[in-house]
Amino acid sequence: MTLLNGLLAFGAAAFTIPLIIHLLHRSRYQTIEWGAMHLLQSSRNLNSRRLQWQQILLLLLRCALPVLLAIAMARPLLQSSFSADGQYALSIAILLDDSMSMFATIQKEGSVSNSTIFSAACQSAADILTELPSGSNAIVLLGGSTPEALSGQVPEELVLKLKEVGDRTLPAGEFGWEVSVRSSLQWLASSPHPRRQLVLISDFQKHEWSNLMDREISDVTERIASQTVCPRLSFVNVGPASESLASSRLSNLSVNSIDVSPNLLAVARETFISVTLENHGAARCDSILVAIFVDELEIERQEISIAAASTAMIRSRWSPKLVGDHLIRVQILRDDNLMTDNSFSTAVVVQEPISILLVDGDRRSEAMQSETDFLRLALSPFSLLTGEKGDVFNSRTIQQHELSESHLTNYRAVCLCNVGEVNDAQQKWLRDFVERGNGLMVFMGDKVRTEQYQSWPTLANSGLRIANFGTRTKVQAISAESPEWKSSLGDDILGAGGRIKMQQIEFSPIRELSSASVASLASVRFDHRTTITLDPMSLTNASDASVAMRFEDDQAWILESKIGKGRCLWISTACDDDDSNLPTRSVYVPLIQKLTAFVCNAIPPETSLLASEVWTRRMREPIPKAIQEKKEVHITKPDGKVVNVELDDDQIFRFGETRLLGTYVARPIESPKIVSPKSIEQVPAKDSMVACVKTKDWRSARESQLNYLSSEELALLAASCNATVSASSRELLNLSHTDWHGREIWTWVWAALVFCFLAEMALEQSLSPRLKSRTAATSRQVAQGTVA
Amino acid sequence: MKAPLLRWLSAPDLSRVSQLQLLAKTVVEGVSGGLHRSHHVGSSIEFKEHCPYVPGDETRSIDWKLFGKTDRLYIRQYEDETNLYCTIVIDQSGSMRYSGSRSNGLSKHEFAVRLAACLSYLLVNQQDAVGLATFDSKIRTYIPPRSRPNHLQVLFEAMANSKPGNETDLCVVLQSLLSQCKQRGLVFIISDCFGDAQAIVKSLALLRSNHQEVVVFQIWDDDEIDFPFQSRTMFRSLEMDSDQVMVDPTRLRSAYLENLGEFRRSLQQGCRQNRVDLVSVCTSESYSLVLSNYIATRRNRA
Repeated sequence: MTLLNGLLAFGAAAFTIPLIIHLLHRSRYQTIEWGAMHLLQSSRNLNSRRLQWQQILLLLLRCALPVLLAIAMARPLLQSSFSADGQYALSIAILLDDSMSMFATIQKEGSVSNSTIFSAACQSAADILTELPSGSNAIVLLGGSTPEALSGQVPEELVLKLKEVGDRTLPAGEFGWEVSVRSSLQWLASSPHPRRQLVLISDFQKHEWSNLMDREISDVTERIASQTVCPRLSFVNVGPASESLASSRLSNLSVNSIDVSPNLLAVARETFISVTLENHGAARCDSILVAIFVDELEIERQEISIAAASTAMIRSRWSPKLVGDHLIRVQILRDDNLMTDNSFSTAVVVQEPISILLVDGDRRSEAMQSETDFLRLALSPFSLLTGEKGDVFNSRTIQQHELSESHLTNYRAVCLCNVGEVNDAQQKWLRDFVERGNGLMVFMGDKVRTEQYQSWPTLANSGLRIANFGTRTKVQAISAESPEWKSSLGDDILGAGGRIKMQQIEFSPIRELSSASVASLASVRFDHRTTITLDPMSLTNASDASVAMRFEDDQAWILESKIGKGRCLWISTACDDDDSNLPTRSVYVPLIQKLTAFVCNAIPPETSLLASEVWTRRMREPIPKAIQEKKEVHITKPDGKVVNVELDDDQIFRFGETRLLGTYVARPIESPKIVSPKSIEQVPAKDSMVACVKTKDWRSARESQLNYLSSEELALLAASCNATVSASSRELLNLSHTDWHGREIWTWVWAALVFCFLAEMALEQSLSPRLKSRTAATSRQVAQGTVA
Repeated sequence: MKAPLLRWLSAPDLSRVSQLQLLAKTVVEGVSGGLHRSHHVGSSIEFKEHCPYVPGDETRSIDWKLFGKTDRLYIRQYEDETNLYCTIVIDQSGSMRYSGSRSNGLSKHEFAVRLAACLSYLLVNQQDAVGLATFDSKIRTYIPPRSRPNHLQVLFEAMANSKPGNETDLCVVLQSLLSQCKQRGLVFIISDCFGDAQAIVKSLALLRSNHQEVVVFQIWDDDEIDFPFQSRTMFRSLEMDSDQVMVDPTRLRSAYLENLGEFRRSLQQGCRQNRVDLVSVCTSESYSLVLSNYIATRRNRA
């Protein structure tokens, strides 16, 4: 016989309580000097012997009550050959940690083998499923930010599935402890068996588990405890034995990040690739070969040495030759304990040059004196300064009177720079131009006739105007001396109207320009501006326009409006150096390029995703005819599986099955085709779209730190979760064997307890005076002999 | 110190007892006039009845007038009224020392003494002769009956001096009392009558056959009636120091009450058969009220 809760059996010592009470009761009595001894003596002789036996029996029953209660609560199991008949089926949910650290190749004793910890975990899960009593049902959940259940109804099917999954080399995101337990409990709550178990198989990597907040642990513990039938929680530690490895950092090299500069890539534009690598081990690593691949073609191989527990950076250059999505992958060409993090990918989007039409309102013959000179330089710096290709934008400058409808067909955006007047026809052409999905930027200046701009039809009246235009004013200086802004003192003396409000910038295209860096808007000073105020009366919907950027005195600097599919920006200052020092600052080029890309809808799409994040992407123009008809794309996941995803009316697809880390490729092909991730280079970059899924803290590469919870820490964690810890599936099976296969006899003990309780009550009742409840009068009648 | 009379009998008691009149149910033999019927009949002032003349009767007692009317010989009989010889027997054994929680602080002996005092006062007031005997295993004090008013003081002194203790043997006492009570009269026994009920009944029958009217006031404490004890108790005998038992009263209660009922039943039955009045009295009751109730009952029965 085995006691499942052996500690509770010590409660049997409580049998001494009734014994002590009995002995104390015997030692306490009162003395009465009594006359009617002859009546008492005969009664005592009649009853004393029987009463003595009854007293002993009552004492035994009372001593048996706590003993039986303790045994019942200790859950005794009778183990014998006939009881292991599997009639006690159970429901078991197995949570498998498939985060990146699980793909290390370290074995429990610290040695390196070919198989990963994850495959050992799958084998452990399979062992548990094989040993389950017949009739049991089980679920295997791959934990992650989105848990994935292995398909299979019976344990035998799940064992086969586990063998397939065990060969996998692709990790998922961070192990989602709370969401995984919640999913498991939901399944267990609907399971038919009263005995339920939740098994977590993990390597218990230190950073994952030590960062769990007490609240998360207590939430999960409370959630488990609140179940109607509370499942038993067990941990199986398949990670290396931490005691032997705690003193030494396990060697592991990882590629932490790839940064590509600049943000807007164009064909033939030289692009810088910065790669951060980290040596997590305690020993220096020399002569590490690092290969950089673009679309799986190696472009460079570098040799590097990294000191122990430190990071290093390598840089490379690459000039895109094709428009479209490109995959940049960096590979450390050395084997270590965790191979998964030796390769890191990121996707970039190379765009076709965007044509911008600049309308100059102040054209001059001298160099850099025209209104659009600075703007043209900012849009096409390579071609204008060095004569090389690589500019994201192509620009052409015309004068105000040259602006015609035919000009607008070949451009993605129009910039009106200090244009004095725009006639009605031109306004209509521009309105149609923007509505079609193009952009318009209007820079104010000294030539602008604001009263003419004020007469433009409003946005609500099929026009462009969204603001009321005031006069051009000089920014008030703080001091009376009012020196020139170009002087060395000017920056400090200009009033609030001369600086851009840097706090809480919500205008996303230029939010990064607010950070303290060389290319920051904080150093820009304005001395003239045209007052423009957002006119709510000009709008049909309030959400059609907003103030994107402000000066520090809350006057608008940039107004933004949406017209049809396009965007329009109104800038209250000139784009040259008449009104500000902006063109002379390093922030000017990125600012102009970002604003232009924004109005052209040319901001590169997001290609880096977190695990389980939804990948949202608009199809690149021009959309193939087949896709327009079928309205779906085929997405190849990192494990090679292809999924068809529907496009919405805006040619946008949304894909949520991104729990595996790696590269996802959306291909506009008609027939689904399983493609290996390494065959991405076969896909024409012009047609495919790529996204790379990374862990939440991919830059710090915490999943690559191969250190684990010690036994004491794991025991503490388990204690806080009311869980048991097993070092292997065999140990868990040995622990659980009695629970699964033993005959629970505690129900019989409960029955004996109830019987003893009833017997005690009956005996107590029989020993109590029969006439106790009768009245004194009745007693008197009996005493007088009138009542028998 | 108050006189014993005032110590024992309160004003309400005295008032209540003064209005009572105890009459002997049987013919008694006194030496002076009183309320009670004498066994002496003959010439007197109180006509009793006409009896048929038989040879040997005095001819002077023949009622000639009746003879003239009926032509038969009848003699006239007169009866005499005399005083009563009454003996009050008080049990002063150890068992009478018991005083329960509901007895107003009176032990059974103290209750018996007060009852005896009331009785003495009543009898002396109606010119009857009252005597006193106290006993335990034998008669300890005996005061012959006297009817003088100052005899009451003697009786009270004797009662005050009686102390309960020792064992009791009512049978022996009653047998020895036979030699003391030679005249017809009334014997009040105030005792708890603990002992062998059959033997007591036999002794009472013997006393009864000696031309004594016997009234037994059996004194109980309420605790002895309903045995209210709950916790473990050592019962130590009031009469024998060596006699003690440790019992759980709750377990013994029913058997005790059955024993008690059986004891009282046999005593009542024996008294009834021998025409002995057995009056059960609890110490929680008022002794004067008990006395007045008994006398009222007795009058109704007559």
